[in-house]
Amino acid sequence: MALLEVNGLKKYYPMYAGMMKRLAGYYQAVDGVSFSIEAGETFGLVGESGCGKTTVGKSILRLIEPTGGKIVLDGKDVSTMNDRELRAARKDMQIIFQDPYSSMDPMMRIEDIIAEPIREHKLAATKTECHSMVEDLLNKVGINSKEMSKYPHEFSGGQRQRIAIARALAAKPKLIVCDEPVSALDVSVQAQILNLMSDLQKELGVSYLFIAHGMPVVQHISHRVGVMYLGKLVETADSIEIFRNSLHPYTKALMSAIPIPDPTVEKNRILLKGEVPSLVNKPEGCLFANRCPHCTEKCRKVQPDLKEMTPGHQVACHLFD
Amino acid sequence: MNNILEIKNLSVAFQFSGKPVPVTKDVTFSIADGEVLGVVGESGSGKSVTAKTVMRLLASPPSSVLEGSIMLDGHDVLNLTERQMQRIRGNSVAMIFQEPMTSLNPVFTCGDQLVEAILLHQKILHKKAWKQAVEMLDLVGIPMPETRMKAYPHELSGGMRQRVMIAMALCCNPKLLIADEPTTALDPTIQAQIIDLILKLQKERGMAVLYITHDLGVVAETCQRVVVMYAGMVMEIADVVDLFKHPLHPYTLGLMKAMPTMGEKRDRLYDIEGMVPHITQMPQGCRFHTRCPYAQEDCRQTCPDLVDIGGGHCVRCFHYNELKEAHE
Repeated sequence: MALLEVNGLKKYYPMYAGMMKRLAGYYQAVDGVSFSIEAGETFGLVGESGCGKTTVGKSILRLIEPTGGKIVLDGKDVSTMNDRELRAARKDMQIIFQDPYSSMDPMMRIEDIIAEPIREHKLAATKTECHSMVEDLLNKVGINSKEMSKYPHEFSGGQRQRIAIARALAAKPKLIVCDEPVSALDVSVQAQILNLMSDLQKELGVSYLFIAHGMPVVQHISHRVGVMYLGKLVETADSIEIFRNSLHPYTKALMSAIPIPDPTVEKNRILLKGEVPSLVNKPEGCLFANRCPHCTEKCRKVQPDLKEMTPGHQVACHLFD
Repeated sequence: MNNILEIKNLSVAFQFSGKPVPVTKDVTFSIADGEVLGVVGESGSGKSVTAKTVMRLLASPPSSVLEGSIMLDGHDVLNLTERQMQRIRGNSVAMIFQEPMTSLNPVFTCGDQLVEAILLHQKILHKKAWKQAVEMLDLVGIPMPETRMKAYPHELSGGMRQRVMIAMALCCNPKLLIADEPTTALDPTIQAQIIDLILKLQKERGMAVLYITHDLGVVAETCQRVVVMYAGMVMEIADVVDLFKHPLHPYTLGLMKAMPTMGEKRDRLYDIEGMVPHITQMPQGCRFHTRCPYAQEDCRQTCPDLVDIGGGHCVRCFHYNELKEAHE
């Protein structure tokens, strides 16, 4: 059985309008997303801003309360847990945020930041044991453990992201949600962090849900990739397959938009026309219909479901009915 | 061909605890009329500082120009009065910034801001300037330009705001456009649209573009020539095809190898060890030697000069021959 199973995850935000604040509709940030992650696997989630990828990540940890759907982590149903159960379950699921400048308490020393999950889940019997665990974690992520009494502002962006990784690993989780962990970093530092993350995965067998908007990075780190558009998964496939043989017109456009670092390559870019539709009172039919170059009458009426085309390659598009 | 911009031996310093510390050192490059020149480098490489010095947008103090000269369209930029500079800024050179959110004034409509820019440089009636602004918005591909003139910046999406910025920059027909990471804050599909727009306008108007970015992919798609900067110094200058085929500086090569490639699965990415040294703790000798796999004793002692090795390919490295041989 898979480590994480997400089934029909939904998150709707109510929208109020007018003086009487009447309910005007729902902003459907995530609308029926299903996927699974195996132990030791990395699942990448890509999409442009506003597509709901971060909401998916936070809903899985229940940092945001999902409106509907089922989340099963390691056989336990996360979606129905009460606060006490959830607190205990968070040991198995941790998160790394995009901005290493705002994700740490500036008044806490590095040692305390990393020791917090250890203390919270009572993973160390004594203070000295806790101290040596923090030392180990810092060594693992490539930070000199002599620096553990420093404050976050004394470190660079890349080093802080290493500390954030150490904090996420402290509780020995089975799943880490990585919400754009390298988007704020420079190319050379980004490579260091990506290498560190895949090394740690090999060593510890942890699973990642890797959320990012940069396709090359996601493809590099992930075993499987899911592409989101307006709160829905439109395509999931093996990370190489999705590049070589992408099926959904949106995935194709997204792929063709990536600048290729080779000036001699001929580019045939698919430029998307039209505006992204509003997520309040969504149109019927396929959400991509108004920008799709292959749109038919059926696309405007019926919403396509995810269908398996070849083993492991799913796509939600009427072109493949 | 004439050069619209010539920067020679430019060193800009900032005050650090009371002392001026050079942030960029010995920056030399030029842009020909109608050329698209890319400047690549990671944060702290001095690419934005150089661009802002050309525009004279850095406050002094804390910044000061230690040495060097900037010739822009026949004007000696560093010796102009603020008044003279104002006439050039927006007229022969214009700049667009990374954050389209913060570079527009939130309390004025897009139309007001465009008209202001036009009226500053042209003695025409407000009505005519308004018409001209509508034409500019139409040119940069904004649908319903008349209505959008009355929109406030917050009513537009990020891509639209960047289009308004481009319209504003171009409304006085500059000969040089400085684009400082114009697409970094945008989504990939919108980034593709904006790059296409800048290149289309560049061709139509024959203007030169100084394109600052940290993304080598964007450079490959937009630029004719490339300047690679590291820690405030120019490390390599080359024609874009030449640079990607035969990078001669170890830093350029490292940057290229550190990027994940689409459709290819590598176990690990190449990483340039360590990090950019802090500006007050620059190493002696070559500024890259602490992270360079080719570093030898001479690199630790003296800083190499930027040498032209033929065909306009310049490199600041003692041992570029080793990389050259590796290519062959």
